[in-house]
Amino acid sequence: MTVHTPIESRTRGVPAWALALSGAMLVAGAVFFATNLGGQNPPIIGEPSPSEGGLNAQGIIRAAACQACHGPDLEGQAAFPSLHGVKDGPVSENLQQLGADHPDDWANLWIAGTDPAVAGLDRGGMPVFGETLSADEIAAVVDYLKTLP
Amino acid sequence: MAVNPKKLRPYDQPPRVRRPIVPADPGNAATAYLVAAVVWFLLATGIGLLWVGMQLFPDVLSLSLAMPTLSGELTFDLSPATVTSGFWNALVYGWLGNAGLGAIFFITPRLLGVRLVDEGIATLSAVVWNIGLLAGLTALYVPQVVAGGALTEFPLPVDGALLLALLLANDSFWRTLLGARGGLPYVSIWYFGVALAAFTGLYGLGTLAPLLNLPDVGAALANAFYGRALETLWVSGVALGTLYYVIPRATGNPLYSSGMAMLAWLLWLGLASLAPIARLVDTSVPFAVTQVGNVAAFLLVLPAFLVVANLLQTIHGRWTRALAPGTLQFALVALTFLAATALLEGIGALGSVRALVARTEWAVGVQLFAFLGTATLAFLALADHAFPRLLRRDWSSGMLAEASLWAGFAGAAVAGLALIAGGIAHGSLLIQGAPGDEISGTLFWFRLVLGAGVGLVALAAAGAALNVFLMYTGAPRAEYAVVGETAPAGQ
Repeated sequence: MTVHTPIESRTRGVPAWALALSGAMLVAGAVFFATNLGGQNPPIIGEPSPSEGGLNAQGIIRAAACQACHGPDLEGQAAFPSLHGVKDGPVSENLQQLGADHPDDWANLWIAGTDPAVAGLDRGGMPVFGETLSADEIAAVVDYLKTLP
Repeated sequence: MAVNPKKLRPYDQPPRVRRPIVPADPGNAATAYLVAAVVWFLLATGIGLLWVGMQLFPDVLSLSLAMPTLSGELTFDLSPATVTSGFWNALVYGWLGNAGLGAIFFITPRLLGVRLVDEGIATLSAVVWNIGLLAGLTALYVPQVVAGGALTEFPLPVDGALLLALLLANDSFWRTLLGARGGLPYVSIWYFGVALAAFTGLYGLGTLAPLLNLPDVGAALANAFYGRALETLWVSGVALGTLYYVIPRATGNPLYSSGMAMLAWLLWLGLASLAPIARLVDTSVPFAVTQVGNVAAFLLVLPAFLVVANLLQTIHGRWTRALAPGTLQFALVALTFLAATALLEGIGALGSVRALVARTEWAVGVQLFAFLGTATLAFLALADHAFPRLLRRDWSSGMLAEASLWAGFAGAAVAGLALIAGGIAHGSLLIQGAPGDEISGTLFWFRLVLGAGVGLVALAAAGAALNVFLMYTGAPRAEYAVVGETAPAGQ
């Protein structure tokens, strides 16, 4: 005996209620689509227009996975601080001195993590981006962060 | 004449059996994929626990190790970013990928009544797939060699190996299908064909995309489309095909309506192909295009409802079988998740809801419903049905299967709901203009519940792995019919 165990069907036709339901929902979907065409998409997270320096800051942010720690909208999550408000100076306690010593480029120094000015500071899981991003890329990111409310 | 084996001379000994390097016996490919799937299930949920832990206590769990090499310094990073990638890749490619391919190679020959063409090639694809995946998963923790967005992070050589494995799997599947005689194949095969072709096509595009040097916006949009299409076409397609197989088998009933099944398949094919367009959210994409995807995502509830109704009608008259632990219970829970996921996807596609939960944990919660709920329970149902037949063991579902079922059910529900509720809370706080600290504090508790849910799913994985181990080592051998060969007496 050759083993061939097909699964039979009680009926081959489509029940009338299933056809009616499908037709009604497809028509409803078409009507909904036709009556809801007004609107505009927001920029995709991490991919808006290029920053002034010609580098796409949010593209860099996405590639560097900043949102994995700082949240999808960079407003912070768990122990990771919000990146909104970088323009007002550092929020974290351990960065206050750095902010005071380097008011213009403290964020660049902190993100890069390679300058002696940040040596010894507890990075709390923050990667040393100076090893993977160029100074221009970090500057583009900081410029973008400063535009956040 | 009787021969005394002790008096055999060397040249009287029977020739040694030469075993092929890649086993090619019937069922080898399905066994390889399904056993690997169970191991990956355990691994993925373990990484999942770390993923939740990283969200709760990132400072405590983060770790970075530097290793000098000839070409510079390699860094091994255990950070929220790398662990998040590790979890999703292990879940989607490790557990769901292996289980899906295992389902295809187990079910297809049985429905077509023929042996798998080139079983050895299919088995080889399992070997290449899993070795490649292991290398890719390891590479994820070395940031210097990783590129791309979610689910497309693997280095190019790894992507190439995985793509090769998929092409080998396609070769075996399509040649088996095209070589089979008979009328139209059963609906499961239709789902498998689309799912496998879509998976291979998407993975190929995902591998080639970085070589095309797309602009950043284009790359991000392609990545968003890829992740969603993988869910709607591959994961859900192969899970639906599996449910269409295991429920009639577990009940012994014929399918309620093949016409309704084909109608649902057609609707699923069209809508699941369009739904990922909803992820193309950017100023560069016309709103009408994105809206096509939103409407399709909303309408996906229709084929899901037809599938659930068809399969519940199939069980009709055999409901008492659902009281016993085993395949049917797993499948019923999977159907529950299928209905819930479709409803949540539909609700999430509504404009007002999108406005509230966009960029929150909502989408991840619904995705956990689909991955850890619908697909995981469907594949556990298949595992319960398939392993005794593949390992040829007399094994009936017992306490461990029951523990896996309820832990998996509760875990997936708790984890998904925690993120869905967290997403609603997050969205509400954003609208109120709450400060980041308050949002983080609120989300902490939802993530704690998420951890409990993922922990329960990890227990389910441990139960499933232990069940297979005990089945293989402790259960007596049993004869099952081999597809395409003469059945043992009594079958």
